[in-house]
Amino acid sequence: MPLLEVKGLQKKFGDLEVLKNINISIEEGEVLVLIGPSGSGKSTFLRCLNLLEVPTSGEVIYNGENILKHKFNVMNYRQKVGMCFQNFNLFPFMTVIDNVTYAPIHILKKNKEEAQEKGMQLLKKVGLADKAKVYPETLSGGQRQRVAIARALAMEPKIMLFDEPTSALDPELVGDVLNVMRELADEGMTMAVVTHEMGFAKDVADRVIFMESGYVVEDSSPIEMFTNPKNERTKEFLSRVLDK
Amino acid sequence: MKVLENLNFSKAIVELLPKLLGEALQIVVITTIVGFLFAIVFGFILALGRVSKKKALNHIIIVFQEFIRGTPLLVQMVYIYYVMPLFIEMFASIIGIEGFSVSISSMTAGIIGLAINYGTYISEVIRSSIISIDNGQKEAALALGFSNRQAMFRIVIPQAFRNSVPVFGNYLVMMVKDTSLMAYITAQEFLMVTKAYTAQTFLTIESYTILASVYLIICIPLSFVIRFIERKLNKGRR
Repeated sequence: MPLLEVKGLQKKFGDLEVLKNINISIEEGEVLVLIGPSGSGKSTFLRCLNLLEVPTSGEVIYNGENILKHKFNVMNYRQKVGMCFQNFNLFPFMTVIDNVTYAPIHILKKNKEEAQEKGMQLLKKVGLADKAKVYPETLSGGQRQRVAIARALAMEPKIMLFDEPTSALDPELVGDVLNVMRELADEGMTMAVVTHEMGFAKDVADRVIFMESGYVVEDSSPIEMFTNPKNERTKEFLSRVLDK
Repeated sequence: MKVLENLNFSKAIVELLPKLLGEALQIVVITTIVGFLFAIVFGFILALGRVSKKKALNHIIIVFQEFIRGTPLLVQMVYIYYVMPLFIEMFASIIGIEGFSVSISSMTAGIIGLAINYGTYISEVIRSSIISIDNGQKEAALALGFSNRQAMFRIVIPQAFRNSVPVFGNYLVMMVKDTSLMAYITAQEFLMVTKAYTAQTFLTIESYTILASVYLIICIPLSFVIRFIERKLNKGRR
């Protein structure tokens, strides 16, 4: 049984149909990378997976349960779905370690020492243990995103969603973030990543999905996608981004 | 230069200053502190009502705000001091309680007036601070598993509050000065006490100069304290 199964997902903003009949399933431990031109609905799709956007119709099945059904415990579900945003969205009035431990302490009701210990482990993992006591404003974009990853991991999620995690970063800072994500993938974390980093998609993804105008145009293995794309639009898009 | 020779500052200082720094100061300080705390609480409640999605509540608050902003603080104080008790008595007699008499102390009326008036202005400050907090903050909190309410109260409002503090400071200093309006509803604050003293001694220039200085002596250090607090809160701000 897939960890997450999306069936016939549709999302409209007013009259604008952003997602049209999306069917995707994500297996446990799988790394799914979503690519496509901007405005294709990748981010909206990702945001539908933790209900930051509420789909207009369709089903999202998690653990055999449709998360869109009435009275579904959304908060409980979101605790198991980590998310990293393009703009990091760290809490600026908390130190780095407080950012990481805040949710475990207040939601999971962990005691402070335990949360701190786990938080420090995670900061070490993302290479920022020495920054635990500083405020996010003093960090570079790449460091902020790594803190954001640690913050999401502190909730011990079953799946991690990455919404263009490196798009707001200076080019030389992208590598550190991607390395952390790579490491996570190697450890078997289930991940859905919206990105323009084709190298990452090639190396790390188990499956690559090409979206355009709210449709899934192509859904295949990275080798297939990058060496032998079937759809004309996929070819066109890839030739444009890979030439850069 | 007859006038200059007649000035008698030392007498005014010795006689008036102790009066000002005694009970009058107490009234001003207590009114300001209590009035300001209530103003912030009231402002928060109004601001939360305004950012809520309940249309009817929004409209009620907007009408109320326009009402308060469209009338002078002095008139509001007079209304609370002289008119409110009459309304309450009227209401009491309508529901059948006869001979019910209410009076409200001038200080209480002042505090209520200041709290409502300043609360209304402060609510707009808080509301715009709440709106100015990047929506990503709320989304990050939601994504971690916080409820809407928790995201608001734990993540958005603390930041909005910090951003509001500089403006709060201005309002606090303004409120100290606006306690002088309470003279009109018979509160024995600085202006009232000075006026009474002038009436007895005719030391007009001296008395009112001392009065103005007392306000300055309170307000200037207060601004410094506020700036200090502001700097403290700025720690960790983007």
